This record gives sequence, structure tokens and C-alpha cells, in this order.
Amino acid sequence: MRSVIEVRHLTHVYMPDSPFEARALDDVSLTVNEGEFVGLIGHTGSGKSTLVSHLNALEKSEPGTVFVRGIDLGAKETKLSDVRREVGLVFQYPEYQLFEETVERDIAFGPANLKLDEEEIRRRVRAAMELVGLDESLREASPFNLSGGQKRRVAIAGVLAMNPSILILDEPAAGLDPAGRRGMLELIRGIHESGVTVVMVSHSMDDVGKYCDRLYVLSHGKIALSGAPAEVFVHGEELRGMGLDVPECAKLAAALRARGFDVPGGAYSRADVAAAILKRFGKGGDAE
Amino acid sequence: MMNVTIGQFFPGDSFLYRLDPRTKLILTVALIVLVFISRSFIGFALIFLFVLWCAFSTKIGLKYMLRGLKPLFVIIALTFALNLFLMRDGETLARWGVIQITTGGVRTAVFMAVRLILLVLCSQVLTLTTSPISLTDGMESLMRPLSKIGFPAHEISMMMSIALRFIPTLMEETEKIRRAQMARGADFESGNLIQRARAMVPLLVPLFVSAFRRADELAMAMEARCYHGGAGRTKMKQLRFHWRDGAAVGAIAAMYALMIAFNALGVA
Amino acid sequence: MSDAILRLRDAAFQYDGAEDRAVDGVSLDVAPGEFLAILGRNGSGKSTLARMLNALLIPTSGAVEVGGIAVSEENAYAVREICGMVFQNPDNQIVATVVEEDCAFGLENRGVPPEEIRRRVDEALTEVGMRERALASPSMLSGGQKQRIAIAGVLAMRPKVIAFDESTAMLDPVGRRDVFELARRINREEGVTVVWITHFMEEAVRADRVIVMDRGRIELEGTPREVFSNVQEVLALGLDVPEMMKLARDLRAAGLDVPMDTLTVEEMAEELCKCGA
Repeated sequence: MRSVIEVRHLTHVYMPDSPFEARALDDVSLTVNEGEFVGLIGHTGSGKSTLVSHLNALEKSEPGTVFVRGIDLGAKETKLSDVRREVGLVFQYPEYQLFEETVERDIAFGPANLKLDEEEIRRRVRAAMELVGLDESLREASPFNLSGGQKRRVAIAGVLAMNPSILILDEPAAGLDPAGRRGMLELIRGIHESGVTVVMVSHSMDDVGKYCDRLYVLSHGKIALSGAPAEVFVHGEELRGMGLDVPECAKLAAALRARGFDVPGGAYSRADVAAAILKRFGKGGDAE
Repeated sequence: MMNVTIGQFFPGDSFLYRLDPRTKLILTVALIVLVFISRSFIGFALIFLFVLWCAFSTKIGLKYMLRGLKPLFVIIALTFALNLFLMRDGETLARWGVIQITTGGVRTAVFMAVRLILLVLCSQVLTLTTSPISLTDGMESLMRPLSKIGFPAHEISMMMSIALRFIPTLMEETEKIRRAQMARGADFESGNLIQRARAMVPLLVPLFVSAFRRADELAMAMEARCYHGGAGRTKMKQLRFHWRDGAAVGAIAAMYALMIAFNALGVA
Repeated sequence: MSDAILRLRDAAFQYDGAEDRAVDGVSLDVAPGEFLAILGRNGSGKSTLARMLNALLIPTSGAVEVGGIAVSEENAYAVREICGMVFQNPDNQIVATVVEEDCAFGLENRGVPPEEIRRRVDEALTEVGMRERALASPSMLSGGQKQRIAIAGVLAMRPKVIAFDESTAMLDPVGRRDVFELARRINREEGVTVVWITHFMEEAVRADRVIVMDRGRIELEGTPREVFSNVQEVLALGLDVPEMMKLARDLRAAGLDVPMDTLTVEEMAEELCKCGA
């Protein structure tokens, strides 16, 4: 697998040498491979947001290096527009960044900044709207008159229209109702399936467990745990100590193991846990 | 931005901090008047001694206070230069064509610059040692008599305190939106004046939208907590004068007496 | 229930210029000391309903009574003294630049004597565990801490009811748990009636009673167990069902006899042990 993001020994200190000095990132190294869906987890203040800003060259990287598709973001000769063409960054509550009179013009803001020609911009706006499931008819609507969920889709479309090969989303489902949440996560899954590498910041273990291939857990500016969801969720106690949780079914698996059931250590999805339970009772698939 | 100390509160605890904000407000005005009254450098020295005492008794330090002069440096330098080159009084020290420097010009230039510096330092003593909230409380209390003639004393102080409350929030918000737009390729740094002004639109529109939303929600939250203007309102923290307020008034009064004496005796 | 603290009779509210009624004929009794959770998708009328309990909105038809007082323009302040409210955005409900000043805001508005305010503010801040931060600036606090301040501000007014309008929606898991547990404690220990609006099922399952709203009406009502047992219906209303209930449904479909209304991990583990025995 080819890596598309390489972070090496990144440290970030806010307001150094002042009484407010804060170490947001402390020797962080991580890799994201082509086509992966990576989850980045950590409670507020764990350094997630700082890390994400680094991946888009919004922060300067010192001690440490950040490479995006081989481009060294710290190098003087690196053009920021090249980075931002590759990496799309969707912030938390992105609907608060909408500003244009129409949905179409707002989505066109990013591509226009890339100095594309009008025909290409129009094509991209249309494609982005389709990808996020916004109806054609909303093109001329004011983004401020849409529902919360639709606004967020417009904001995401605005980033997708820049055609990034890597998409980073910070808490994309925050504040939505359960149906909106499901819709948003399915939308991201769709974007991932269209060939985009996705990094999703979240504090919902259920969400990252369901959608991500691999997880990084950040705590106090350090990578505390990493690996496939199953490898991370077995550390239930440690995660709780970091103010995080594990999916409900992983908790059940642990509770059952404590009672002498034979449930495999990595089981965390409902399907896996159900299968293990049914096997134990001689029902369902594998038992026969 | 981080280096601007003027108007900033410097948390601490000392005699000056514990003074009633009303006393401090009135005495600051008195001190500013005193700076204008002084006709001599010895008078300035007296006020400067007082500023020195303030700087050291509060542990703020003179260096920190002098940093507050930075943003006003241009004005002070300009005042100095204008007086130096345009004032013609006494012996001529140097001359280039129409421009000449005279002894009187030098004295006036220095005098004016020192006066400006002292004005800034004196008002800084107030803002550095008084938290914004007690400053607004003090102002409201001082303005209260005016509300009898329809002056919106309570409303003004409420507005000031809400503005103070939301400045950090809106600064944070501005930074968030700026980053979000930069991630979409916005460029806030290059181009001519018009291009830059235009580049601010994607920053300002969301900021205003958000500020209005916040105002709306805040108004509702205030209403939910029984807010209905200043009528019938009480305050948890009552402002009370102490012996130290009397002492402070006494100290300033003594400085006035000295200053008047200096002026009468015509000390240089 | 004649001793209900909240009594709604066919209450409705229509915003100016709106085609439909945001709350469309809700009848409901809430007993003193009850912890009532209200669920429903965005725009289902939950917030509108909560705002009527605090007289921020006056019902356009029907009746809402809070502690025996009819919600109307004239009674607004009397109603607000009985029912306090905590909102969603922690930033937009803090008025003052100092924690304790904010906490005092409501009491100052009501003209309570200064010494009394001082005492109640200290009590309320202790109650929410923020006494040491009394002199802090709210902008230096986390979202969860800000919400605790907002709760202290309401508590200081000694209301009989507190309506929480998605007060945990913008918090991280730690802040969310903190604020929810605080609301539960106030409910259990102080006997304050709580109306808890939320999108989080794990909070709703711990309420005494749950109502699910849709298009301004109450669609489902009952104990969490009763409500969430209707898995399909709850999902169709745009909500979620606790993971254990989904698992129970899957296991039952595969022929394993676990009760349909198994809510928590502990219960499920117990049930499975029983099956195994």
C-alpha cells in the first residue's frame, strides 16, 4: 500500500515561553495509506484539531515533518495551493462558513480559488452536489434558507468541488439528529467508495467502529493507541481512562468473556457479537 | 496583537487593585487633569514618581507599562517633531533653510512628549488594575444619577459587559472561519487593497451571520432568566467605599497641593 | 393526575408566517420529580414545546400550566420562576465575564437582596462542582463546564422544573456524561422535575418516561423500555434504538429467546447467562 500522508515526529507548542504555553502535539507519527478510511479519536483538547490543521498546512510543522503525497509541507518551496488541491478539509460545523448568495456560488468558491475555467467549475459544482445528495433544484437557493443537514452538505460539497484525493472531516455528524447522523455517515462512506482517501475525526466509537479501517487514538497530544478497530477496542479500560468509550457491543463482548463465554477478543460489531453468541448456543450459521 | 498592553487587565492583588472602581475612575480623571495643569518638569517628575509607585506596588513593572506606549509611538514622535521644528523661541541651535531648532522648541517638544507619555501611563494604571467587569460596574454606578433624566446607564453597562464577554468568543470564531476559507483556497494575504477587501467577504459574512445568531440566542437565554431591563434589579456585588479609597483621594489631593505650589513658585 | 407540575391540554404553537403548527395539539401531564425525556427528529417541535414551558413562547391555542399557573404574557415572569431553562449552545447563554456574576444574573433580575444572592450563588456553584472556578472567565472553560455554569445559574433561582433543550448536543463524551449525571442528581436529590430534550438514546433510556414527537405531535409515549421496544417505529421516526435492543431483535430473529426490551449491556449479559444456564 502506498502512503498518502506521512507525519513524522510532529510536535506543536502553542505560545511557547509564555505562561500560557501548551503542548498540543507531542512527537506524533502517523501514516495514512491510499484509499484508506482512517478514524482519528480523542477527547476535546487531545490535539486532534491541531493535527488536522497541520495536514492542510494551516499550521507550520516544527519539530517534525508532514508529507502529503510526497510534498514536504514544511519546505519553503512548497506551494500551499498544491497541498489544498490534494487535501480537502471539512471543519466541525462547516455550515458556519457558508457566505454566498446561492448554493451554486458557495460551492464554486473553492474551485474558483484554484483558477479553473468556468465550464470546469460548473461541471464540478454539479458533480459535488450530486455526490452529497443535493437536488439540482437547490442550485439557486440561498444556503441560509436550507435545513441544518442540507447546509452541512453544501459546505462539504464546497470542499469536494476542489476534487481532493484526500478528505479530512472533523466531527462531520456533530449536532445532527440520529437520522441525519446516519445519512451523513453513509454519505461519507459513499465518498470513500468513489475513491477518496478519508480521515474522519470523531469521538463516537460506534461510528468509527462501523466505518473505519484503522484508528489512531490521541490523548494529551500523543498517539496512545492505533490499529484496526478490533485491536483498539480491546483496550476498554485505557480508553475510558482517556475519557473515551468503546462500542456497546464491545462492552457486551467483554462482559460475556468475564462470565466465561467464548467471544473472540476483537468482536465489536453487532453482527460479530451476535454470531459469537449464537454459536455459543448452537444456533445460526457456523454452528451447524 | 499579543503585544498591545493598552486597555488590558493585568490580574493581581494589591492596594490599587482593591480600590473601589468608582474611586479609580474619578481619580484617573483627576490625575489626567493634573498632568495638564503641570507647567514644570518637576511637576511631571512628581506624577512619574506616582506612576512608578503604581508600577512596582502592583508587580506589573515599568517595562510592561511602557509596552503600552508602542501603539502610540507615532503620535508621540509626531508631536515631538512638530514642536521641535516649528516652535521658535529662545536661542537658535541649528538651522536648515526655513527649518530651525531653538532652545524653546526643544523644551516644548520634550514637555509635550512627556505629557503624552504620562497621560497614557496614568490611564493605563486604571485599565491594568481594574477588571473590565468592575470597570463597567463602576461606570454604571457613577452614571446612575443620570438615569433619572433618561440616560440609559444600565443598558450601556449591560452592552459593554456583553461585548466584553463575547470578544474572545468572536475572535476564536474569526480564526475558525479564516482557516476554513483558507482550506478552500482563500487568500487573505496577497493582492492590492481592493482585492484584499474583497477577500474579506467570505470571512465577514459568516461572522456576521454567526454574531446575529448568537445575539438571538443570548437574548432568549436572558429572557428565560427573567431579564427585563434595569428596573427593580439588584446586584450581588455592592460597591462600597473603604478607608483605602479615602487614603487614595488624600494622596491625589496632596499631589494637587504640591502641583499648585510648584506652579505658583514658578519652578522650572 | 391532579398534582401534575406541568399540564398541557391540546397545546399548540404556530410561528408567524409558518404554514404548519410547530406544536400541534399536545396533551401531557408531568408529575413533580419526574425525569421526562423528549425525543424526535430536528423540527419535530421539541424545542418549541420546551419554550412554552418557560413562557418564551405563548401557546397559540390550548393550555399550558406550569406549577398551576397558566402560561400567558401576563404570567411570564411567574412561570419563569417555576421553570428554568438550559439551552444547547454553551457559549450563547452565558452573559457575564465572570463565572459567579453569571450565576447571579437571574437572581439580580428578580431583585433578590445582595446577601441572599451571594449565598445562593455559592450554594449553586458548589452543587455543580464549580465553586473553585467562581472567579474564572467563562471563555477559559470547556463546553461541559460552561453548561454546568448555566445549570448553576438556573439552580440558584430554585426552580421546580428545569427544561434542558439539547444541552449535551455540542459537548464531547466526557462533558456530555458530566452534564447528564448532574441533571440526574438534581432530579434525584433535589426533587427538581426535569424535561430532557435529546438526540442521544443512551440518555433517554435512563429517563423515567420518554415521549417521541413528530410533526408537532406525540407519537410514542411510555417508559424507555416500552418506547424502544417498537424498534421499527422508532427508526421510522428518524431516531435510533439502543444497540442492545437491536441485538436482542437480531438474536430473537435467529431463534434465541432474549427479552425484546433488553436495554443495557448488563441486562443483556445477565439474560444470556440465564439462557446458558
